Amino acid sequence: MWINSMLTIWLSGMIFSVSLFTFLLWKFYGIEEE
Amino acid sequence: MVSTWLWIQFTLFMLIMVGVSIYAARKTKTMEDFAISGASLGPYVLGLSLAATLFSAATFMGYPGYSYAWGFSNLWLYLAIFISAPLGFITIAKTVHKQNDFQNSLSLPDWLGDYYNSDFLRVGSGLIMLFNLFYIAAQFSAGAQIFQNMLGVNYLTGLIAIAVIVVGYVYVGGSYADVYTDAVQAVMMAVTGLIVFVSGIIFFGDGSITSTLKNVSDNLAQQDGKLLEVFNPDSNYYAFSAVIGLLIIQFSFSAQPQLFNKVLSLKRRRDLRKMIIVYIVAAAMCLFVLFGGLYARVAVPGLEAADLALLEYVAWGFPAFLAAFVAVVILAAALSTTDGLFVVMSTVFANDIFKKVLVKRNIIKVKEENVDKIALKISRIAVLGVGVVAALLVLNPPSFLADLMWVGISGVSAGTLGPIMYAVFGKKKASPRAAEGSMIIGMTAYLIIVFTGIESSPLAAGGWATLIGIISMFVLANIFKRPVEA
Repeated sequence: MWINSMLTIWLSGMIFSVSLFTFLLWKFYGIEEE
Repeated sequence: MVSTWLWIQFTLFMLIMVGVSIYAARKTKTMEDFAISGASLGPYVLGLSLAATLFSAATFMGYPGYSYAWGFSNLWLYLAIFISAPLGFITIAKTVHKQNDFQNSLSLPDWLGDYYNSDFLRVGSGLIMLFNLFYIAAQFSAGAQIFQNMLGVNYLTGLIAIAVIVVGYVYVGGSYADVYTDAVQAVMMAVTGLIVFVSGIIFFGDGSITSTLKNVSDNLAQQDGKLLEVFNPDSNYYAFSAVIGLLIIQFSFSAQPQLFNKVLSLKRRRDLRKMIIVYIVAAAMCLFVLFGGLYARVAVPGLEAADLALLEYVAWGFPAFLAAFVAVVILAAALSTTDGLFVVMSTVFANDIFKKVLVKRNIIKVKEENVDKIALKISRIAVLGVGVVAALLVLNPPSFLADLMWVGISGVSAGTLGPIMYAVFGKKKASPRAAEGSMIIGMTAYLIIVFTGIESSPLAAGGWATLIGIISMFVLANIFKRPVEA
């Protein structure tokens, strides 16, 4: 097996965080009028 | 051979730094220029600067060393940095930038002092920043050791060289020099992270990522089963609680003054998103270097100094010019963190204490038209002073500086994140007494946790103290009512 427990956590964490950043940045940091 | 390449590349690198600094010096005319680049910079250069400032020599020496010593469990560190630091920026950046439209603050202590209308908070948090002397000293020492190990120069000469280089370019170019050199350094660091990650796929997996991970896992399992454990009992990540502490301290990096002032330096608020995305991409690439420690454990097991794992690994497998490049990048990482710290520490003396307290309260009488000029002069003298003191701290290479470095980072976070978080999430502005109380409680909590040794992980210790600082802020804000402003 190429994947171990820690790698699974790491990969899941990366996918989760990228999704979270995308959501937060587009919800709260959309282009605003200046 | 490596050392010849190193001399050539280092000279080239220095020439680029000198060029950038001369350009920056021309733009530095006021105290605002020196502290936050005249609040005039764009998102790409600042996103890269955030990454370069956050990632130091520790990222390229100490962190692969952790992977080498503790195996896969060090990926907790990757995750904690990757997830928490951007979350911190996303949480506070917009409010901080928006508020600065009215405040025009030049640093973190300045921003807090202006927001809560408290000079005690301004000077107190400014003085807490002085703990960062240890942070600078740690980077100086790491740089000097690179000079010593790779170039054969003695430690003291290396120390003087690195101190003169940073002091020189921050002295002339202030924040502009800090940010522009950071951008160059961040690109070098990100490329190195990627090169190191890919190198293992070539050496251990014949071009296949899955074979690489399988071969590395099998090899580490044979050496020591604990290297594959999720919570390696020998590591900083011995239990889930330690990981939570780590996540909190990484989150609080957004309250580090050398990163906070990058948010203040951004010209247009609508560019914050771009700035944070650039940071995230650069961070993910830089952090790949943590895999270098795992590869090193396969390639060169049995090293006495885990900190040298990455350098030993590149010396083992990389062509000479590439091994030299990695050493130059570690120097760049040390410089790019140190220069940001220099800028904020000199701003503490020149702006936060001299201009905003001593002159404003008429303790020192200066003609108004001369204040900014004198402040700029003070900031430059402070750069020299800080450089000399930091170098003196590490005249002999100390063995405990990595831990001392965390005193600076954690002390600042524990003392300042509470008031910042309340500014973002509080329903109304809190009393200055609440913010001052949170600063004192957070800082004291950190010192107690460290000196009683309740928490063995130095990173998690800062996390818990920061949490105490935040909780006490929200409690105190409900106890002390804000005086009615005229």
